[in-house]
Amino acid sequence: MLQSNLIILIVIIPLISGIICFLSSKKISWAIAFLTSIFCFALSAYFFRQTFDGANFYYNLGGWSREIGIEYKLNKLGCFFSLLTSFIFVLNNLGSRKLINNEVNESKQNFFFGLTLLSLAAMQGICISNDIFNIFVLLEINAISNYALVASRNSKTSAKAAFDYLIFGTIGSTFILLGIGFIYSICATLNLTNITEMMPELLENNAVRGGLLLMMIGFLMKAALFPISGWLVDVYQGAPSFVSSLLAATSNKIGIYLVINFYFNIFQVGKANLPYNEISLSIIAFLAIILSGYFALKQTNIKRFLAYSSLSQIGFILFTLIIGSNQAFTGALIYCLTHALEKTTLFLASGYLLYYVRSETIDDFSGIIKKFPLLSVIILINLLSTVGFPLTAGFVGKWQIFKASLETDIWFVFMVMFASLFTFSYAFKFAEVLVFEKNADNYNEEVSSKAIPYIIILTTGLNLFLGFNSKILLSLW
Amino acid sequence: MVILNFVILILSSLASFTNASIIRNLIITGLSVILIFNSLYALNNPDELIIGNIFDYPIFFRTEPIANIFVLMVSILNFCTNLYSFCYEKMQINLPKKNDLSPAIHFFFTPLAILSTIAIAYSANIVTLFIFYEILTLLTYPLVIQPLTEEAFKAGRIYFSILFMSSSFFILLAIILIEKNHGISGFSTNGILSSDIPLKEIVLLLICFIFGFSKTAIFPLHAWLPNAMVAPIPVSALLHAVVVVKTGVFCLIKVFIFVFGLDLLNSTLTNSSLSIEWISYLSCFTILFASIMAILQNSIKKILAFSTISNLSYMILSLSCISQKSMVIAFMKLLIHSISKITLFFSCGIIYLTTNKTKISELNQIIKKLPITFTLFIAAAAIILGLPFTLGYNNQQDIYNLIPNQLPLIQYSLFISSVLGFVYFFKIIYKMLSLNKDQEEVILIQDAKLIQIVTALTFAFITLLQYYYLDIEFYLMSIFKNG
Repeated sequence: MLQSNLIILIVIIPLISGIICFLSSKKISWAIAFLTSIFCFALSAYFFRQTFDGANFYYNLGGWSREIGIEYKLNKLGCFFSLLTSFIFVLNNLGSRKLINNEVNESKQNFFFGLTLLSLAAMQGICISNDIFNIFVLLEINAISNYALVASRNSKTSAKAAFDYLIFGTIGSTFILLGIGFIYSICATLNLTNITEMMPELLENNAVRGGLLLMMIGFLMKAALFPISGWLVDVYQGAPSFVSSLLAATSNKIGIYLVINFYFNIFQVGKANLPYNEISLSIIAFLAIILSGYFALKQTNIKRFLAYSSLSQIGFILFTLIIGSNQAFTGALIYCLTHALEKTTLFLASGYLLYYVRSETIDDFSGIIKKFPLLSVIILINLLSTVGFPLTAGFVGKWQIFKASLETDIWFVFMVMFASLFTFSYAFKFAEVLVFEKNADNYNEEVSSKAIPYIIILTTGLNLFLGFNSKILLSLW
Repeated sequence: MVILNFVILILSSLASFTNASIIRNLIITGLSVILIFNSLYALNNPDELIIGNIFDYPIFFRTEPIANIFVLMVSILNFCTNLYSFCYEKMQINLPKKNDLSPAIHFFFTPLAILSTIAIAYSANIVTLFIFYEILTLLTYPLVIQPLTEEAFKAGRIYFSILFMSSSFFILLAIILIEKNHGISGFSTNGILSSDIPLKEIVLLLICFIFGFSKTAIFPLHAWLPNAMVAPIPVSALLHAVVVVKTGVFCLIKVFIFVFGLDLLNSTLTNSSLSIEWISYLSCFTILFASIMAILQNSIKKILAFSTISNLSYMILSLSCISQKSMVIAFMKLLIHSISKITLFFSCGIIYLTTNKTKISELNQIIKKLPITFTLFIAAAAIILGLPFTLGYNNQQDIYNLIPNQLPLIQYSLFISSVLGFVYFFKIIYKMLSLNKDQEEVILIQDAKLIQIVTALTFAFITLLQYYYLDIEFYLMSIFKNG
């Protein structure tokens, strides 16, 4: 049986050790960050195991009852995302030890690791918090530490990227706060369990609908859905490569988690009484996939390419969610998982290669398969997973989406087909560059990080393992 | 034994890492001989193999009569092509374009491609078939781009896009449709669809499968095959005249028999003839179209590619007549065409290696220089055209007889297409024969004894096929009768 006091540790420990990091030296701070993220990972794995059968666990912060205090709640969905994010943090921390020297000043490195821990703490908190205002606060903590992380790179672009991120992040937060205000004015409680109990009737209320709409816009901005996502590309380009990898794999997943949680669990927006037209949302998601895919195809910068590819995948996840059936739900979660694995691998691998190639232009990566055969094969496998090739984890998601869309409407199938055409084109274009040697090589010979090859082998191995044993993925839900 | 096939091929692909080419060649040759014996062994010894699960469906292989014969043919031609590739690798050094065939890529991926073909042939449910179909596409892509030139990559793009996109759309859709409405079970001769399936769904599934298996190079999705001809001859010969394209047809045969079931298709044909006849019309159009395109080409390889497209559609046309006999005839056509087409490609390769010529217009007086190659070429072409007294003749007649009398349009166009077939082969042969003194004479760069022997050996297997032709036909028919 789960000790309810354990629940809070997943937030408190990274928060405290983050602050310790600020005070300590570079090497120690890395060790602290790494150990803490492993601790969080272990704890969230334990939580996920406990909640796997659908059990919920509650913890009242400071002993205050849920009406006045903050309540934390473990449920399966939250634990899944908590597990996912902490896993990505472990990998990134492992990878960033050497790589950080290329991109962040030595004097700032302890701050850097401290900030990653704050971000981790906030994400874990969001996943388990059952209090709508607490979620907002944690979102802000997460966002602010992310701004600083993006700005930490030694380049001019990173400051501007961080500023853009700040502006859009703040706008998103404002929407969320406004939405919370609307809902609080009607429900008179901030506790999500209480709100859930009131919900089916109150959804008729226009203030609640408006609040939900505002919150959704905010969450979708956090998740970087298409029309409000151009800034994200600059952010990914400007940030250090492992921060990009971190953001691509975790930060938008948190947005998606919130969308799922609010849309399906708390407000229980059924097909009948929608606050806004579902079709229009699916069209937005569809456009997100297609246009982001198109932009990815046109990019010459590798980080921008990966960013657009990421946006397109997020479109896929939301598109699947909107279909709304149980199948689709599983599909979207599988997609979240595989997308996190793929993007971590791709960003880390490209960060590793960037050090050798010394250029972010995609064409300069041409023929890299000769120099780094293993790394290139790993990138290729991840691209295959992105397009949903059989025996990769991406295929499981694709299968599930096809199934879900076929059960709902045959038009969804054609939309998915058409959309995956774009995914295929940009992935194929990138794969071709890796294989096709155009110019003579002038690579940097030094070793940048020994850990990264192992990490990406691990993630890719996991990807293939899950693709082959797809039952594991399907039984997650 | 199925597992032994896989082990042999994986070992064979690993052998490509050996540095000394002689040792590598010996290992690969030895393994491909074992492969032949193993496929012979499989003829009388049924076997099953399950490796893991995908979703709720096992990755399941089972030997069955048609697959056995197909695998036997593939393993024999694999053996011949390996020998041919060794010669090719040695001889290409004397050509101006040296790295046409890059051994590291070629000998690594070819066995793996053969492996996935065998896996497709033995697959016992549609999910296994689909997975290995996709893997075959993936593994043949490096073989197409192996010259590593701009042109090769351009061709590879078309190749991979068409093959991968079509199968990952249509076949996946079909599989999920089947899963939803009927449930996926292992292949059985009664088909796996429930009998009360609406006509609309049958047509949808047929569309999905015909266009999904675009390795058959049916009309709108045929462009990958002529493009794949940038690959070196051994690849074009083994993969793009035999393994890949025939796998497409073989998959269709499997789907018709084991997924739909011939009874269901037959009753569909009688109830609403157009729901199946569109396949006949489409394949017929492809035959004509490809024949005309073949006439317009100047490169021998392209002509052979278009000829392959048209012959593949003969098989699909035969399949679309939906009867036990039509399946067997299509399968026999597949066997005959494989051996004769690979010979044509090998001869074309010899001409390329010895003269560095790939265009018809440059073939002046080849007959004087390479008489054996020329003879082999003519003999193989005659079989493909179905001239009297050749093996192809009976088969061609069978296909003509299959066409029901209600479809005169198809009968006429078959007649036209065989005339067109004569034209494009005659175009090559005429040029080879012509002893025009005004034109420049071709000069032989190098001697081609060994490679000619290999080609002759390959072609010799046609006599084996001729000898067993009626046996195989009878065997397959009797299997159909007994279920």
